[in-house]
Amino acid sequence: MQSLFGCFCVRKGQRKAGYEDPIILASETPFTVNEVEALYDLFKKLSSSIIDDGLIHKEEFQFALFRNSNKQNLFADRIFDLFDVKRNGVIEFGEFVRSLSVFHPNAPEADKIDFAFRIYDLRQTGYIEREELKEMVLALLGESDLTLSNDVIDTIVCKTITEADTNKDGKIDQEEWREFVAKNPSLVKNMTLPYLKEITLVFPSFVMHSEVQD
Amino acid sequence: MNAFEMITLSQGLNLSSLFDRQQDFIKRQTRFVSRKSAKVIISSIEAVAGSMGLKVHTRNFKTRLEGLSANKAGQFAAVIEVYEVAPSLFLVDVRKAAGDTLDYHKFYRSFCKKLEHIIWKPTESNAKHGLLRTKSCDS
Repeated sequence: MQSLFGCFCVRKGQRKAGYEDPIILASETPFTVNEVEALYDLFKKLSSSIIDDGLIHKEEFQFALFRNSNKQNLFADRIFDLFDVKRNGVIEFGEFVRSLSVFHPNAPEADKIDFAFRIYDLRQTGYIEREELKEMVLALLGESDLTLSNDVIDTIVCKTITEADTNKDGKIDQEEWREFVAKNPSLVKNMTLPYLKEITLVFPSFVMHSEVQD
Repeated sequence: MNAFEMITLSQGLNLSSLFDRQQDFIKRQTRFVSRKSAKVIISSIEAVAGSMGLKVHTRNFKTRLEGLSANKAGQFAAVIEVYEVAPSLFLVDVRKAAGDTLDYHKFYRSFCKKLEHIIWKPTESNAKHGLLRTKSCDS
């Protein structure tokens, strides 16, 4: 699909579907233009692993995370769906950069906290319900080949909900989640990827064809 | 440890894998459950690691193991954290900190064999309860 932004790329030659101008993406995110270009190298690698069409498909995302394109994982599904802003079943380059920007060390903490809430709000009701929390605990246990009794799992889930659910409506809303994270900041530690500040070192090949010096 | 802390251990929530250049992949995170006391868990881990020739350093329920790789050519390190998940129930999370992934998995297999006496493997009878039923929190 030829996007509107394709016209900026004419002087660089053919670009695949879904490419967006790094200057625009840099202006809308904490990334520099060089960093966006380095992200494009990463994006090219991820998006060509199974179907070489310039788009990240679910299988390619699963392959990138687990080195197994068929690995089903509840949390990877949630992140894929949130990255796929247009909900067209694939992650385009612009969606990739904008979504990853929340994970940048310089991104506002509030954005990271809200993104985490959206991950855990499995059915997007605006609340993290007890059943959803239980489903996530079960997913983690399954992923780790661990078994705990139903009673133990219920106890863990109940204890957490009780701690976070300050208005006692049986579920966690966004404000309660923010307060809970304020008391337990390590809960969003995987919402920051320090690598993103060093992306130009990880993918240095861009240096040879960078459009901009920043 | 609350439920969300447990969930953040998931590999599906760890996007740093996207940047990995390694082609080989086996599970990078490994964990087990124990019903022994935290003190017994840590001292058992330290004893087993010592017997495997590794240097041990523990602080606050976090233990770092260091040594040479199997072929003596590189570093090997693992980090172990013990979390209380429920009364008398601990989750022990083991992570590779440095070295070859294959070395790490050989280490983990051997490590767990020597720790069989503290690892809890639920049997059908003590683990089974209807997974469909979620009990109410007010009971």
